[in-house]
Amino acid sequence: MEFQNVPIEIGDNENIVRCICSPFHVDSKGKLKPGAYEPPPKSDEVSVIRSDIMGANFCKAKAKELETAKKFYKGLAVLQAGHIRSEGAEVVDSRIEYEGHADIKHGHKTTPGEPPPPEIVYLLRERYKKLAKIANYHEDPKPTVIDWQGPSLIYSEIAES
Amino acid sequence: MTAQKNAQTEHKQFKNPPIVELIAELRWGTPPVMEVTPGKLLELPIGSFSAHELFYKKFADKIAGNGYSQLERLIPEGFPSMPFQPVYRYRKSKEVADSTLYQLGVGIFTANVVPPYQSWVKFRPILENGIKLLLESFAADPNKQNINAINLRYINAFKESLLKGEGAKKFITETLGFKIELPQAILDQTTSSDEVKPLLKLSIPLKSNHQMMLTVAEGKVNEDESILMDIAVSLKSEFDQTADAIMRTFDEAHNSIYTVFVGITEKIHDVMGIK
Amino acid sequence: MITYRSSEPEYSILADTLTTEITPSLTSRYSFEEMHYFFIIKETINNQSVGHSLPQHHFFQNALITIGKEYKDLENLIYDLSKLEFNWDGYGALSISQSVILHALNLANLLKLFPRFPNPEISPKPNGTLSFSWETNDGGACIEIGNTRFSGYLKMGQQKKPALFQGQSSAINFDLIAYIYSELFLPIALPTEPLTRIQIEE
Repeated sequence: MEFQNVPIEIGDNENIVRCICSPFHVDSKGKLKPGAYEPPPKSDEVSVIRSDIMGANFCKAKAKELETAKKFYKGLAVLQAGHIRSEGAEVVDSRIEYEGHADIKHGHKTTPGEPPPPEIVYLLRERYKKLAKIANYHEDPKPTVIDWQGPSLIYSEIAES
Repeated sequence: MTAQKNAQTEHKQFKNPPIVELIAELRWGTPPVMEVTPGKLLELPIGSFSAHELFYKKFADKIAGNGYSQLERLIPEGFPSMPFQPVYRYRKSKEVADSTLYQLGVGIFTANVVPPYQSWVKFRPILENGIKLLLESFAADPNKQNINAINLRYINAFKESLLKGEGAKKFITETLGFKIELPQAILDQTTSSDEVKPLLKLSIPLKSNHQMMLTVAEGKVNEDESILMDIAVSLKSEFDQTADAIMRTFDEAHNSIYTVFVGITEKIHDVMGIK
Repeated sequence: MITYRSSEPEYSILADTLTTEITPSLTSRYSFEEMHYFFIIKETINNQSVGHSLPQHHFFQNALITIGKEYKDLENLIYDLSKLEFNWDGYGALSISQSVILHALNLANLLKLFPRFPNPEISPKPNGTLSFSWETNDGGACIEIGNTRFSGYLKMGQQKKPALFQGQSSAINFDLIAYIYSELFLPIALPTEPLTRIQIEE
């Protein structure tokens, strides 16, 4: 499909992938941590990829671009746009970054070096926790291989632990 | 009104009851938003030294009007107060013979009575009055917290005069009725199963949604050899913040404890002496 | 033997300055008076100790008391977090400033006064703050520490809304930690000590 024909609107059932690179985004047991869905400073946007359109290999390639000498690509986390919206955030196409790029918009921008007001700390932390809990996190079984070797990036409901 | 009527129902009263202390306890505590600046004490309803002292004093002024004018500080001034630990004790003046007192601390209020304990009917107004004055002391507090837990506890000590010559094991298992059957493997190892010392600690969910904690053991109570029976009923809930609502919960707790106590001690009602 | 191990070196107490007392609830209370300060420790039946003390450095110079906290682990973790470089998460996260690290160490220092207080999860945040969080079956709490301010909440399961805190980072003190500790980890069912002196034979 020509990307220009891809609709800007993101449906609730569309799969959205977050690239996981930081050791602080995954705990010692391999579970996704809430920090995986936190925005960078001065922003309320979390970069994600429209994986249904771009494919798993594209997602992995983008994740690998985030690697440095001290930070290694770990895997991919999948949610549906509807999950994100039901937790109070929005998901919007932002192809101006690159084709297939989208943002989770939390609606609250952080101040560098300072925490938000406590009611926002609570709201955001509960949201991040829920998203990390319901996401399908797939650790890449072969991170050095170019193509994605892990499970399908189609979201599946899993029992809450 | 029904609760009050229940409280005033003629329950059995005993001339020689084993009770050594009754404790009625309330707890509360959830912090609101607070601003803290360096050099200033943390303005917390629970934990802030200066805010608490005002609260304790407010209650002291009110309770003094009921004769409880003697204050005793239980934790040294300047010392951090841990939550749910009494800081002040309020008694009647030394000239007045009285077996009741109140305690107030970080997130906790108690009304205590030691012998001569007459009856729940006699103690109830003392408790209720303390709760009313506590709620009044809260009212002017901008950091007012809701009471969210109650606990009613009866500490009983069965001393020699009530044991009818029985040893601890026999009294606990046969007189009070806490049947204990030891496995044969243990019986085979002991010379006398009568010398086994039971220590029972039970947590019992009640039909009323309260929780009963019951401890029965041999021990010393105020230095006297006794069989201890400690019965407490507690409830955590979002109560209506009125003395009436809280007292209804205490009445329910009392009824549960009374029913259990009277049932368990049936075989020694004769030595306890019904009034 | 009770030893205090929160920082090097360990300190020892002279036996004749220590008074011991068996409490009505069958715990042991050890107390001594030194330089007009009081230090009281309670030892639970399960041989774990819970301590109260005034956090004055010179106060500990004559004390040998074990509280058994994993303070060193917290301290080491915070030092490791101080080494995070810009973009540690791949999405532009800020490094953690010295100011935040110092406030975090102060908070970790306060936590050691509560030996039964489980270690929090300490997480770096992309905006350069540190988050201390606890989760239990009954509720959770979080303190986020910044250069000058802290912000956080405590929510118990039965509450509709959380309790909220904020203030200057340098003012995080014993009271706040005691509050979180009491709500999350101090069993509400634990009764207050009665006036009656009780000793159970075991």
